Amino acid sequence: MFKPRQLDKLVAAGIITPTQKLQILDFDNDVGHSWIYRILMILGIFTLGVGVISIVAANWQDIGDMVKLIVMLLLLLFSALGVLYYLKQNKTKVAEKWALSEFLFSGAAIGLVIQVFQLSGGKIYAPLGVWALMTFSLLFLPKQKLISYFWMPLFLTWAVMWIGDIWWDIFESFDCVLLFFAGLVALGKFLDWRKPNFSVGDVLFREALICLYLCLAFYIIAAGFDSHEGLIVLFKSFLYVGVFAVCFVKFKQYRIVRSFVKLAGLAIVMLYINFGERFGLFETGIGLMISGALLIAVLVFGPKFIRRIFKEKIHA
Amino acid sequence: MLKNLRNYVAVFAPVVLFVAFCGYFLIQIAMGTEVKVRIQGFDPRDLLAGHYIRYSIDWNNTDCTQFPNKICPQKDFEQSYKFYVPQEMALVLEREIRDTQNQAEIVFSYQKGKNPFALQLLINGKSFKGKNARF
Repeated sequence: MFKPRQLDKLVAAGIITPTQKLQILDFDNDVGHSWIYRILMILGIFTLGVGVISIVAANWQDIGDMVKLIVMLLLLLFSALGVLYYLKQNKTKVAEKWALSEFLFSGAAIGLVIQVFQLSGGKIYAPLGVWALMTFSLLFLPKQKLISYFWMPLFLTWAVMWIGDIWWDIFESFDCVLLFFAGLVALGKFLDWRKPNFSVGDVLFREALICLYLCLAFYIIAAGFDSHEGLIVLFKSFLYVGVFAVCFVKFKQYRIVRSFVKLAGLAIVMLYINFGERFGLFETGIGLMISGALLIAVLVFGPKFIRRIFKEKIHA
Repeated sequence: MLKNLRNYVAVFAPVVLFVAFCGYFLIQIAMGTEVKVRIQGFDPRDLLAGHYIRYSIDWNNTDCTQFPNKICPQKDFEQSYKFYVPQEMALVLEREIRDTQNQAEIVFSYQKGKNPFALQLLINGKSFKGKNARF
């Protein structure tokens, strides 16, 4: 979280001592990893799981269809009984791992059903939806954080693909996508607040927030290069960024507010690109000069303006 | 007691749903009648469910007299389907289907107005079943 170089500056300025710098770095190592590390880790585990499923589903050619289905049923039953056994022994951590194996076997079972019954022609994301539905109940086990880390990306991937399939035009889906993810973020926060031991709420909040953030960033970048509908989407983006930032200020989640302020910065840059394309600022020498001056103005006055607002808030 | 029941439901729900899916598909297949349609194939590859042969139905060369009212129900079938095959057979079968001298067909379990289920792949009337099948 703290970069050594930033801390060096603080040491040089006499704000913290070299000992405090080392203490902060030690604290950082204990606290854990950044969200990018966590996302990549989840993605790695998820890809590994899908790979295992793929191999299992593709290489069972030597045995009959009915035998395959019965073996899969036994594997599912075995992992389910494993969960129950360890829950009775009060070994919840081991039970959680057995539940994860049941989750992965469920995915393999869907792959097998598709293969055995030659199910095709449907939507590509349908198996993900069925997998999420089939394993939804596992989220209600006493310890469910590990399962949540697998289930939520599955559910969110299905949701993104489903939404993408409904709207062919990306800008048509703008409001619905953002409100959908904002709704999930709110639901996650609500669950976390009402039932702090139910880790699904916390995981939903974090991962839906990442989806919301990435979708908003995607729309802002796409809108910058679209001279037809881009401008409306960019203005709407400012509105959404403002509303979301105010909501998170209410909950005192200032780190998230800062992230949304960065998105506002991205929106300003994309607005500049949009205007540039619209008025031909990048095509003539004078246009380029105006364009350069505008960019410098945005970079100089934008952060000053934001800092001033924050200072006023602190003093208020 | 209630906590135990909740655990049982949570743990066995995926198993019950798996059995329900399989049961549903088996019943649907049993209720349908077998029909044979001519196919054309292309592009084998899949991530989740192994290798497959992607094919489309060649209605021009399909015998429509096997369907109700002797009309080919094109609306009940999709534009293209996948037929899952063992990894090592995918390319061989793909070649066989592309060969215009071969007659490639799929046997479906068909019920009017419902999704048909592919049962077997036939090349020149010979059924493809399992790893040892060669043409």
